[in-house]
Amino acid sequence: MSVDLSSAVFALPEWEVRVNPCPVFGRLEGPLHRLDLSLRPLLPERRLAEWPHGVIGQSFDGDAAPRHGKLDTYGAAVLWTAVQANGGMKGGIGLATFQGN
Amino acid sequence: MRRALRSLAGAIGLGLLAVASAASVGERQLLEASPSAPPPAPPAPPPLECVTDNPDDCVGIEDYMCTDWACPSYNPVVRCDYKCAAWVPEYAHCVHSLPPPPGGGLRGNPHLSLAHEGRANFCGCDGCLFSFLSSD
Repeated sequence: MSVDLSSAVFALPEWEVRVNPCPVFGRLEGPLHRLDLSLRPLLPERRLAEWPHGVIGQSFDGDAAPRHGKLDTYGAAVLWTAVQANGGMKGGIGLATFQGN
Repeated sequence: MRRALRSLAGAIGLGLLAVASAASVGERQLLEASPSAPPPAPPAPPPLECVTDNPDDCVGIEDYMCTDWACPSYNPVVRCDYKCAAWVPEYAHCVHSLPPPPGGGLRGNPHLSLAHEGRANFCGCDGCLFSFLSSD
């Protein structure tokens, strides 16, 4: 019997945010764990008080059409991730970046 | 004066009699109705929205807002930006209650799941902060 890492659910008026910690598999250095994030709207998009923003939030734009960004090409023995959701964000990643920490 | 009082008493008596008579009729109706009571009313339908691809359809209906994708007559060329918030029988063929869309998220290093099954990868940068969701 074992107990895995606990998840956390944040119930907001219009969103449910679920955070699941996972170990970093194949870790070379850096953090031992990562946090996976699940964002679920509780209302139809058009009923949200405001159009959401952010890397993921902006895709809830009410047009029901998927918007895809670039994907890294997996398969090489060593892979350096490079893409920044290019094409998947209106206006580019700069709009979701916080300046100066 | 005495005649007036008598007529008033008569009126009150008649009124009481009428009430008693109404009560007895009501009880009898209840007793007669109880063996074969009508079926309960069906539950109220969920909130409905009128969907249209023609903004003019919403004229005169207050508080209308935007929708599009579920109306069979939706023309993707003409972006539908209107939703009548009120029930309009003429649009019953394309009326429905919109469910919330499936969610999105991120996992791994990370792989992004965007709305409506969109996909993207996102490598970020060291020491950078990004907003993944900003909403009310």
